[in-house]
Amino acid sequence: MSEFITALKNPDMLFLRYALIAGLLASVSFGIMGTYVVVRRISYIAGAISHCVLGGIGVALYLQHAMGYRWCTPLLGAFCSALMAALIIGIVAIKAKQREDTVIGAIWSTGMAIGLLFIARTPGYLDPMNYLFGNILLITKNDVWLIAMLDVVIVFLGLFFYNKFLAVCFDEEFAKTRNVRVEFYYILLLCMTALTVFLLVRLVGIIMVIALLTLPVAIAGFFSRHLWQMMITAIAVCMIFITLGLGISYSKDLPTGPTIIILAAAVYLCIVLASRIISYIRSTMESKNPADKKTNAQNNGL
Amino acid sequence: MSSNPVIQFKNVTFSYGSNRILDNVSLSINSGESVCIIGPNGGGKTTLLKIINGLLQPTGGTVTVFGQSPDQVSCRIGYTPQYIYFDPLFPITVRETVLMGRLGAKWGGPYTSQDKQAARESLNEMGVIDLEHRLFSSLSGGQRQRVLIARSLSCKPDILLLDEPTANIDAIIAAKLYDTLQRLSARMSILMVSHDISIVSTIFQRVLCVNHNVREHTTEDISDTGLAGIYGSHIRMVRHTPYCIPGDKKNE
Repeated sequence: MSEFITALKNPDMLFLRYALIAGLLASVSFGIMGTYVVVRRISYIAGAISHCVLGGIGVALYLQHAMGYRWCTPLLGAFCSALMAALIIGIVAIKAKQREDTVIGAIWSTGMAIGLLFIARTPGYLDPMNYLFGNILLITKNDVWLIAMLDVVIVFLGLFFYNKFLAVCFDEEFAKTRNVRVEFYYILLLCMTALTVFLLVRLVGIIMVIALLTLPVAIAGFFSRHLWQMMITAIAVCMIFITLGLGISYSKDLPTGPTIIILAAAVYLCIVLASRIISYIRSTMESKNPADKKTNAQNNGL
Repeated sequence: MSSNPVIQFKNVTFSYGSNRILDNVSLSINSGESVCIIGPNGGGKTTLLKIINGLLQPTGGTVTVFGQSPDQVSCRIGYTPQYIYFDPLFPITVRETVLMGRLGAKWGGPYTSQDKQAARESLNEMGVIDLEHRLFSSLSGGQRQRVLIARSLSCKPDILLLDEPTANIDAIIAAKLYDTLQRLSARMSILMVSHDISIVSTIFQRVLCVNHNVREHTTEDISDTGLAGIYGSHIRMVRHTPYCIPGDKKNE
């Protein structure tokens, strides 16, 4: 890690600083939106949106290189396709709930297929691996600003509508009885997820988006009693994973995205095992001393 | 009790696809009146409640609540479902759950101090103020039901809709809940779906028997034969007497 810290101080290695700053900034959006995605159980929708992004990237690359539309960058293509996928899934989910999973599956695979077809038809050699697995080290100063701006949007909407999102995620039917426009907030949530996925694709690539969106939140869930607490913990956990992942990948010359994901998955696994062991020890101790169990039950008002 | 109708159904029908649940239902419920809704499963009891609170739109006929369409007056209606599907890992406390009852048409922002005060009052009313900071998922079935009723009360409703609130709780908790409902019935209209016929005469003035259409009875009308006609088969009436815990003066 000392090599990594030295490299961060090196003015010739600005890309590493940008990568770290972008990762830390993006952690804020990942923590907030990841929490909503996990508690609303829509990680499969986030997966569909992320895979659809390849379609947008492919079409944009084709328009840029084959048709000469210079303004049509892959970033713009990714942004538009993520939002479009979110809107389609949201509208289908509201209007025809029984077909939601079919549409998600179709968007998931069709988006990728469109992307690969257009990339194949684009003049010159383009490696889809960069988009599939991302490369945080290719982040530029402009990307850092873009991530900061999107952070502001996500933080503002996520906090301003916190109570409404909480109600929609916890008990949609009751929220409707309180005059909450559930469909509007659901689509807004999906669009914000799309924006976050768009950010994540730049950092860890299409394939690994779901892991970084859900693993820090799953870890935070072990230590949280409130949704806001889960968000703050997830942001902190995500920042730690990105910093450590960058450091390890730089020191050991490993690809950064997969290093971050493996690190997050390993920590999650350790915490799951530790919590199982602790609950097993507790239940064993309670069965040995039933008086404790009775006292606990009384304290809990059972 | 005034004879001012707060809920009016005129020739209301409701269907899920080709399956007709409510057929040409007309009824009227007056201000301050408490009504028990009974009937067989699938007869349309829950549908009736969901039409009153605007969750479902009738396929025919008109429904007015306080003279307006239900979704225009939803802030005056408290609703407690029979159960809610929720993620047991969802990080939400009892206080946050009850505060949801204070959500309204305003766009966003935090809850006000008035909202928090109203939530505390309704928790107090239901006798669960000591659970305020507990996780909702850690509660027992009876505690959860009382918290959900507290959530409905936190909006200070004029009508309280309860869908089988005693379905998953034991007789002692049910008896306490009925005490609370009796107290609440003095200041609001209560419509409660229940299969527990034994309590109807103590709290309710009228009984609506719902089996695709609605028949009205006074609480004295409910008999074995009448119930058999409503449910379509013989019904055994069981009168519950809550078990008294020695030393519990209230139940003794």
